[in-house]
Amino acid sequence: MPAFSETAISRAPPEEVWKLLYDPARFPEWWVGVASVDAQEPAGTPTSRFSYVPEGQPDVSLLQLLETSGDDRRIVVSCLVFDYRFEWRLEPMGDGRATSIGVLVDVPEAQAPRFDMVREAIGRSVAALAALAARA
Amino acid sequence: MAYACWANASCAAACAGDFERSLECADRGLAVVRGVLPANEVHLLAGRAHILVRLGRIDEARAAAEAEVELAARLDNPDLRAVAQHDRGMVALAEGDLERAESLLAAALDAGAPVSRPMARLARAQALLGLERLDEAEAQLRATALEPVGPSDFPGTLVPRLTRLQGLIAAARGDRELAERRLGEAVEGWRRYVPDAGPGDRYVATLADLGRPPVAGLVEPARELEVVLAELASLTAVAG
Repeated sequence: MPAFSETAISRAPPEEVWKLLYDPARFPEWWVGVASVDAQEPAGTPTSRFSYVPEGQPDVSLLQLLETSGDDRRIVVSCLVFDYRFEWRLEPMGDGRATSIGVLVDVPEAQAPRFDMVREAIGRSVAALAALAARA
Repeated sequence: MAYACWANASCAAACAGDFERSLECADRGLAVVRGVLPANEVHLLAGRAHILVRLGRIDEARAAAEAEVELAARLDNPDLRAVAQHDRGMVALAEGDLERAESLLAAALDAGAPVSRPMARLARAQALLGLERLDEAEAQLRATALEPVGPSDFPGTLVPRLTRLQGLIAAARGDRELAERRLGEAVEGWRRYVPDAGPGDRYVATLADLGRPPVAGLVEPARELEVVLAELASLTAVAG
């Protein structure tokens, strides 16, 4: 399966980035291509399913799954429609006033022709997440 | 079998909001396991302590948590001992014994207690905030964001919880603007979950992950929302 990774450094402490990453309702603020999010599941459900409306496609709704792991600090968002998988990791930097944001993306074979476009969008998204957290 | 039945019934009643019934079931379970299944007795004492806190019967909650600590110490099981420290710390926090709460929660975290570590960190941060040890409270929030988070940590609820504490820390530092912003974010966070679809999934998640009474980790978004709204109103009133 094709894959790529992107990283960015945020001048925000980890908790500010974490708050944005754990809250799908705020994805439209930084995730390129996400126009709106809805159908979030109730608090405390083991995994969070939500759907988002892609920019420019108001009639489309793509179901996603947000999962966390009790074994490490991964946050995984999986597209249940196109099988993309986004694995996010945060690492504190220096004295904890900055954060390294990393994302590993698995692109399904069927979506390989869109690889470059997805990579460019995720690169911009990581940068936007870093910047938004720093402004919080 | 009887233990599991009473423990599950206690949990189900708590999830339904019937805490008196939940307590009754925990006590029936305790009567079954007392002197026979000490590890299960520890868990039921934990459940009893948490239910009593929820009912506002703090003296009885303290007694249950202390009985849990004492029994866990006798069993010489490090995990149970750490869990009991955590539970006693949570009761201490509820009764405003902040020094004790902070030290017990710190000890439980250091010992790797098999409880929700992010939630324990947030509780410790709250104790530190009350003690006006604001930098240390903030450090606990940072540590929360770096803890592994599993299903029984109720990931969706951690963000408004942490944001609320950020707001209270900002208020304690006299930064009213930031405090209002953070408390407002916490309000929005909880509002997304009210009304809730029901706590059944949470019940299963906690039971499966930790094998502890879910009462200990019951999430009540409407109640949390009320708390943050009151804190925000209080801040606004002071500002006005």
